[in-house]
Amino acid sequence: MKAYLTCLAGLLISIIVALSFGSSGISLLEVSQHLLLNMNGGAIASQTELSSIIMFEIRLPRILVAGITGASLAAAGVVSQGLFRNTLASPSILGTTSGGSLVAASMFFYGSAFDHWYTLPIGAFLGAATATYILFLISKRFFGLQIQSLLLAGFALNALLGACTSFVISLMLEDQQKAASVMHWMLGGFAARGMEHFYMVLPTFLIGIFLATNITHKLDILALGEEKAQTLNVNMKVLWHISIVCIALLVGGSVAVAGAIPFVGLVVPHMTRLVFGPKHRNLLWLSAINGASLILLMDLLARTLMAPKEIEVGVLISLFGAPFFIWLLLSYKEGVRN
Amino acid sequence: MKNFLLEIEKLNLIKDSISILENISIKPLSNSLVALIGPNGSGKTSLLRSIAQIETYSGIVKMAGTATSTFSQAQFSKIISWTPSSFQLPFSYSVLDIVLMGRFPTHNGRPQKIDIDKSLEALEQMDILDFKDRHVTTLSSGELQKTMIAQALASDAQVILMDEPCANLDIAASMKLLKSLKSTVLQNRAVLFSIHDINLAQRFADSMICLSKGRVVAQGLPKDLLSQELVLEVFGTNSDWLQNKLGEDQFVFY
Repeated sequence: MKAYLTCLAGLLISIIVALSFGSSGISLLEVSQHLLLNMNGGAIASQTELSSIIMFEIRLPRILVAGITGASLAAAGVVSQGLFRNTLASPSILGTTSGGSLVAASMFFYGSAFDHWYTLPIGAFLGAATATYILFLISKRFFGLQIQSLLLAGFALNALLGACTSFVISLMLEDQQKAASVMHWMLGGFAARGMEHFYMVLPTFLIGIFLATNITHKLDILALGEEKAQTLNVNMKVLWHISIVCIALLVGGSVAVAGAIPFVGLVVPHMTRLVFGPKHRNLLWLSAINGASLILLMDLLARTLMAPKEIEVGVLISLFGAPFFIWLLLSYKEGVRN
Repeated sequence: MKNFLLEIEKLNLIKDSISILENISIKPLSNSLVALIGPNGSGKTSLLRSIAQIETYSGIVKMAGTATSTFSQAQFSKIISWTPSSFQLPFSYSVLDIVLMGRFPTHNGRPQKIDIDKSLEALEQMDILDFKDRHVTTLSSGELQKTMIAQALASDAQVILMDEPCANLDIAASMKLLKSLKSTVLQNRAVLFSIHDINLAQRFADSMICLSKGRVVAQGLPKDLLSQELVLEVFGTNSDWLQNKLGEDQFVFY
């Protein structure tokens, strides 16, 4: 309970700070007043109407999209790490994100990305699911899910899917508008994201986290090893399939609205596990909350560091996430016992 | 009348066209402590894995008179427990959490008081109750081994399979473990474990099964089974029975 209160307090602070800062400065006092007035249905003075519009019609939808994306990616990271029994397994390293990106980029190319609000999430989900299945089958069939092979296979798959995505983008270069929009999307960010994007990612998040919640206790048992889990009444085939659908839904939805944002699924579950322990039920929800907080703060930095210019969140997170990954890789040996 | 818990008839295991276990039949085991001995590569681990349904074999394994192939996974997991010889735990669960996992087929992720009580009891039996809140990643190999054995003991399984439970334990801890297992079988349980230390095995086991090249070459009481001829044939080592100062028989190699 204490853990949830701590993380929720962190999220609340992140939301208030994210609402307050931007190219147009609104004080924390104003934010609190607006929130209270809104809750009580009170009238807003005309002089503060503009800041109210900025907060609730521009920043709030963006915060909602960023928050749910961070929660999705972190939750997907928890399931990936539980399924592959490894703290280094995350959607961006396993190729899941690249799979979603390739299909999404192809949809931009064919102009079908915005045919309907759900085409992009479904496409990204299918790409993410296919990539994860391929990696899982390769690793399991040939290498028995050993970490070195998993990382190498993930690296190879990422390179292949990345090359395919670059090829698709190169086909769009002549159409400058198309190329600019796909590049912008690929870098991962929340500029100009509104409520429609929130509604786009909400179903994949809800279904994904619902499925994930139902397999958390089995992921705990899987930590004992696949064979041991099997003798403890865990149906491995069912668990693999549900986990992969779960990861793909969570990653697919976030890729559809925010592009390829790396490392959240790696960093957040790892840090949350260090502080609050490895039990997957708590880890899933606490990581989702912390993932939302992290992305909100990163998005805030992205908006304000070079204001009025924006840095793409994906780029910013890579700058922090890549050194973290190297540190994790170096300390990996200490975390594993034989 | 004895309640037979485990029977095996004509069990064969072939992997990659290589015969690993050949025509294994063992006399019905009741609530007893049974040691599985044999040189490296004789099929001890494969036999335990086959009984635990990790390997796909041909033949019949019966538990309490019923073929295990007719059990659902849920039923099977409640009556059998399998502990491998080595473990790789990726996450830092507490010792109590790990032991509670042994009762997963019963509590299905929602442990009740009885699950916690039985887990604590098993930890006490293994002399590691003080460690219950420690993270498993901070344990020595021997302590981890004890934790995994406690996990098996905490379960409600009637048949407990253990692959080299003494592998990481010192001699005092090994003796204590085998004494504990001996008391466990009094609760209408059969424990089948593989072991390399024949002397320890003969001292504590109610009966022994000797494997060589994937076949059962002998099964019976330790005193009857262990002969100079058998040990020379199976292990290629000279041996003899000697008496220690307490007047107990001990099997020695030279």
